[in-house]
Amino acid sequence: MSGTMKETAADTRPDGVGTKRRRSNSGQLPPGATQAVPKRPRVSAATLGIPLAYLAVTVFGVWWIDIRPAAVAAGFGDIARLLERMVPPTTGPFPDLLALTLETLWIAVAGTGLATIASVFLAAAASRHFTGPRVVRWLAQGIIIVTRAVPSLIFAILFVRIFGLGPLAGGLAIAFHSIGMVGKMMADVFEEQAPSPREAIASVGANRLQNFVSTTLTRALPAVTSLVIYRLDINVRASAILGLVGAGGIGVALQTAIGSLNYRRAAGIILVIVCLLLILELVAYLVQRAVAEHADEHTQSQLHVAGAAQADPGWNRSRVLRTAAAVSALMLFLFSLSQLSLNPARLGQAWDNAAALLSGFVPPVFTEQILLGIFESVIMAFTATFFGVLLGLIIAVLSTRHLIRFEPLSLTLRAVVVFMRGIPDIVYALIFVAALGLGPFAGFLALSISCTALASKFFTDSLQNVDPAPLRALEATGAGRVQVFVSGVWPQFVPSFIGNSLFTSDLALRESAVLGIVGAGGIGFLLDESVATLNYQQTAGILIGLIVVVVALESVARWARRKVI
Amino acid sequence: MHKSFKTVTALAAASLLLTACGASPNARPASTGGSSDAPQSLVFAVVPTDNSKELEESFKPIVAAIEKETGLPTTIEAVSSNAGVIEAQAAERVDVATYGAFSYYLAQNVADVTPIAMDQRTPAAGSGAVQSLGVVAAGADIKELADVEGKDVCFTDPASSTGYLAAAAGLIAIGLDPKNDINPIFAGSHDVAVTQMLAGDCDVAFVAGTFITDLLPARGVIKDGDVDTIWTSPDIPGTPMVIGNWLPEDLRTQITDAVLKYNAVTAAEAGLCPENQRESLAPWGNEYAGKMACQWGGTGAFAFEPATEEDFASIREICETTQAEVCRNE
Repeated sequence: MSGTMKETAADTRPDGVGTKRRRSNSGQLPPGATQAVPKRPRVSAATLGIPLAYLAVTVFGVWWIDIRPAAVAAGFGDIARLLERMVPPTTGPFPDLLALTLETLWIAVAGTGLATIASVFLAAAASRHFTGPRVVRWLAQGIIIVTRAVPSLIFAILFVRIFGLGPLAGGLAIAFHSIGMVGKMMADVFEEQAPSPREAIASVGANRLQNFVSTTLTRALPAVTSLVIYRLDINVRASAILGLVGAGGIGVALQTAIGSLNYRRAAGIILVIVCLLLILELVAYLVQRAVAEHADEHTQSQLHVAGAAQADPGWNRSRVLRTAAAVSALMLFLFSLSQLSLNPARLGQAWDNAAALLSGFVPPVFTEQILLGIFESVIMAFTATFFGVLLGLIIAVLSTRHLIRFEPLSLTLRAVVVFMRGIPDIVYALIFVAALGLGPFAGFLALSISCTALASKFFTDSLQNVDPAPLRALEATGAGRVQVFVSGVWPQFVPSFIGNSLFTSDLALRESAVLGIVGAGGIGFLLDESVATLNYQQTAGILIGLIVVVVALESVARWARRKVI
Repeated sequence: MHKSFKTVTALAAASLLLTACGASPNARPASTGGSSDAPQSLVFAVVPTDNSKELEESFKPIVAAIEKETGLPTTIEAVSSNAGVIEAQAAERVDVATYGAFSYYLAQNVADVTPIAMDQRTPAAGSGAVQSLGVVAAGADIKELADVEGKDVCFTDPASSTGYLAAAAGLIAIGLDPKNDINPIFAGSHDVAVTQMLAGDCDVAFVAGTFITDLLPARGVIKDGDVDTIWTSPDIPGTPMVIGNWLPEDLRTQITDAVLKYNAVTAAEAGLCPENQRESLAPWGNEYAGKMACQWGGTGAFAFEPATEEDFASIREICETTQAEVCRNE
């Protein structure tokens, strides 16, 4: 099989970490030893070209959006008057709100869990290291891209036809849209791994499944758990979509409160959501510590102690804790599935209903408006990403231990980021509309804030997962913190920095529905409009446009990863 | 690598050049709203209502009329959220707006605005009013409103006057509590409420009348005889056009005159929509048959008629009857 040959060839290249370590060492040589210094590695086209491309789009975007910082200052009074109407927050009867929160949480857990299970298989097949048939790999990559590009709104209207009104349609809509992100990021994690353990296990005769479980999946576990908990966080926040399937919940309550200008109740609901997100963040942090192979200082595998037999892992307190946590997560997931209330009687007519709906989507219609909407959204998403990535990088560096080791600062920053995330885009949009009036500038600011929250989350996670061995080695040679960061942390961080920046644009593109709230158009507004007026042929055109853009972004990201990993 | 580097640099340079020459398409005069004395331009915001399509396009003739009458450049902003427009009005950054009657009820509490006009479907006064309909699958046991007691009832969403509030007021009027005497299900949109009622997820659906009479049949989602109407609400006022009181009085008069002066046909004759004309609609009567007309607003109205605050009193009454959560904003 030619595919297998190629994979093996790719795997036997010197791995990324090794290359970078050599590079960092060369940087540590005394200045006099010029003869021994090897030539500086050439800067890759991806590390230079992608940031430059972003800069170019941003310069255009700044002109196109007509950014006028002075206008924000002039609108402070209006912002203050709006914020005054949000305090003091009220929650209404608290038990009711709590019930809504739990309802939402169960649906989100079920959806995220289903997506995770599907994603493990899809990501394994979509990863560059997959050695099976190429067709399977392409298929897996296709599913991941399409589920990501298609907004959950579309899955919701489809599943409500199939399964009827209720939590099941909502849970599945969440699950399908989540596959796109969880699957993609999981595949990235698999690809970033060093190939040596995999080769070692393969050379002793393990088959593909054994190899995957024992090397790839176990090593990916810390990153995967934090990814899954983050997606749960997104799904709780995005739960307004459940209103479209008659499932209710806290997102719908928030949407209704904002729609009826009851901002004090909206603020109360947002506070409850923020508390939930803080709990999830804490869980993510604890889980990450418990399953990370080299949590903080230890650089070797600390996951298992020796057991009775030589090759058996033994039990110690942390393994018991890990297992208990895994079992309770599984129980939670199973319980949440039982909350979805499947009605098998409905499935009889499911196919006819779905076919009737889907036949309305063909033939897709493209209009000039759709092209313009995509253009607007892409420009806004890229420009917002540029600023979001800069701010997010600063926040991430300050909230990890690499440069500044001041615990209160990093904890505060993490809480601030969670708070930023907990406030829905529409609230930012309203605040900026009050200050600036309707138009792209207000939308751009709202989108930049969500990009900052996204980017700082991604960057913090990958800065934390940096392999500490090279850093300790550098420290041993007497390198200062900045030197360690520049030559130890940064080279390891570059692949995920570029990948996650592109992915932030990808997510921002889908969040550009917020532009509709401020009258800045964009593809999200057209999509909502086409669905609300049942113009499904136009919806299909928009979806195809979205898929094309997401595929393009994904191709750039893949090309960049090949260059830098 | 060199090649791609050059391409990128070229692109960067090109975009810089582009930026250097010419104003942004989104640039606007600095003094949009905010100041009460003689604004240099106007902002007209529109929110999609239940049956609007091609929102921006359909308001262009009206904006053309306003520009002609006032001499001020006017921008249209199509906005997906009523809260977005209302907050912009509260900050005096939107001068004229159209949105649903319930949004006007919410807006009057926070923004200094007055309705000047409301849409008219036909030449008859008050023809812009809409109704909420209660529908059941053809042949169902439910024959009148009282029969819905104890049933699963699909509504649109709690903040929709045609999809919930009017029906809730109707239920209260016959002594049924819309929270406890029925099992309410909020389907999120009018079309989903109807299709899921037909699929058996609920026994009766309350939705905006135009979905039953025009929109869903036109899209082939329901056919003649699929549904029986068991209840029709009293008239709910149509789409108001609302103006900011911070504008100088003569300007407000000019805008009102501009909107009321034309109907869809005379607007076409006055050349307000040279590129986007359609034939007059049948309900407009013989007088206009065969003449060309403009798209006059998002609902495809015939004209606008003068309106005052009093025309929207029925929304306040519905709110007082239902004491709905969405009606209270403190």
